[in-house]
Amino acid sequence: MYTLYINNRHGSLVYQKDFLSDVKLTANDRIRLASTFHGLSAIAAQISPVNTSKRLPFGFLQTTGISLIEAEGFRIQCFETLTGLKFFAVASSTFPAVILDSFLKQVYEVYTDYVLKNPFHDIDMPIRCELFDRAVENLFNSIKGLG
Amino acid sequence: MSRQHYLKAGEVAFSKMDKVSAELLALTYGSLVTQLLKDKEEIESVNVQLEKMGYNIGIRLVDEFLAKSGIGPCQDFRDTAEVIAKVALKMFLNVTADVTGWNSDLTACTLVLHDNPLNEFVELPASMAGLKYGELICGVIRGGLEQVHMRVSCTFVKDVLKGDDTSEIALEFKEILKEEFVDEDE
Amino acid sequence: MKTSILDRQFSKSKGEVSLSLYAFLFSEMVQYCLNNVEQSQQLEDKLHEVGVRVGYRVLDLLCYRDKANRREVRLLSMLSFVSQTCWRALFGHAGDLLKGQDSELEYMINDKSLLLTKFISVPRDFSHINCGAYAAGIVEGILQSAEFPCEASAHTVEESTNPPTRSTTVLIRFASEVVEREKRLQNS
Repeated sequence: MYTLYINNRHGSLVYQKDFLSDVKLTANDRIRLASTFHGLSAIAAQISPVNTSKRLPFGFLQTTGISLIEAEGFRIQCFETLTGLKFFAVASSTFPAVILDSFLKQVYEVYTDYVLKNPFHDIDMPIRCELFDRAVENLFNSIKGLG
Repeated sequence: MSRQHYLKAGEVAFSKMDKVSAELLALTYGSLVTQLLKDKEEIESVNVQLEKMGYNIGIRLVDEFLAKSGIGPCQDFRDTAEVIAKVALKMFLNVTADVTGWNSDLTACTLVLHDNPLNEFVELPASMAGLKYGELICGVIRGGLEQVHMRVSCTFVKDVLKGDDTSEIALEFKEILKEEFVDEDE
Repeated sequence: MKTSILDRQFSKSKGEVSLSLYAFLFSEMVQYCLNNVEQSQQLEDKLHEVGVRVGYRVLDLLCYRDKANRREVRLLSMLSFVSQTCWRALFGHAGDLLKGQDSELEYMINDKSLLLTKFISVPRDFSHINCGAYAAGIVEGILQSAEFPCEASAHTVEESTNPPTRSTTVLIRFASEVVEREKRLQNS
């Protein structure tokens, strides 16, 4: 896996972590990429022909954005929460999707612990929590051998 | 989703959580309320502050609820009320509530709390009759639901601290919050 | 007729709630205090004040329930009561009691993983703040209302473990009359 990104519910990048040093993107590049992803995901949800869930009274709760982009040699996998947060990662095509999916969900759990319970963190702002960083690293270390 | 299913989900969710003494919670909350009464001049401002703090907690707590309870999107508002009463309250407060008093539109109901850990050791003096002691919980529910695009009103209508037999929260669905497409170039 | 709270059973409560809810409440309290002080240095004082109030009540509660109305008058027994009984009842495990090296008036209670600060990452511009000030307030409240006048403050200690962890120490500084009284009791 190369990088983890987290977008808040307004589509702004609030967190990113590189797991390999090969990645050469500037901070602005990343912000732009993350916003673009949010935009693409929103458009995809709107033009999607699959419309059955909208007929139900609470259909708006179903998340309908992009969950996977497959490309030559890499993929982007996204986990979107019911509250509009997006946890997505860029990984090589050989990295098992199931493990990546589980990783993203665990990052969500760790987010609810070390970011949301931190009184010094304002919601929707960039994440600067040391304990969260460490927890994400630990999660990555536990799966990197499996990729 | 059946009531039984939610009761079980609630118990499972609570069993996985780290625990802390309910007394510590009650004492901390009590001390906080006392501090607010000292800082603010009017009881009504304390009520507003408690609800606001609850709201701030709710907008964060909902993510933990979704991440750790395994509960998916609700089918309708009846579902939502049952999830709150049986799973969410259990997972965090270790209590459950009964959902009763539905109106004909199924947009308003009453949550009957059998127990409220925040009330431990509390007695409201007559001079504080206007204080909505447990209003934090109402704020949590309102904040949590707003994060999943539902606007609701939520407030205590009966309170054992005021001499009623039970504590009850009136929950009413107001509207779905439409997501606005934010301009990405800002 | 409303039953008075005094008539209610003082049950040996083993009631529990989730740590998460407590952590959210505590975080919100810290934010409230942060927004209601003029300088961030005063945050600790505000948290401390809220803690002291809890401490007064904790003493009554635990003394009545766990010690059947016996009050400690000896210094070490009282400190042991605070670091063991109180700590366990409130925070789930006992704290380590240490004697201060520099002064006979000082004692310390160390907690390797204080649950209050488990999820809190303090940013660099607030590095002088310790949310454990709340625990220090509780300790001070307990000791003050048990007639052991003192001041308690919280400090972070970087442990040299790998990875480095932080433990919280509550430093208790007793008023000199406490130590003098203790000496009198010892000699009698």
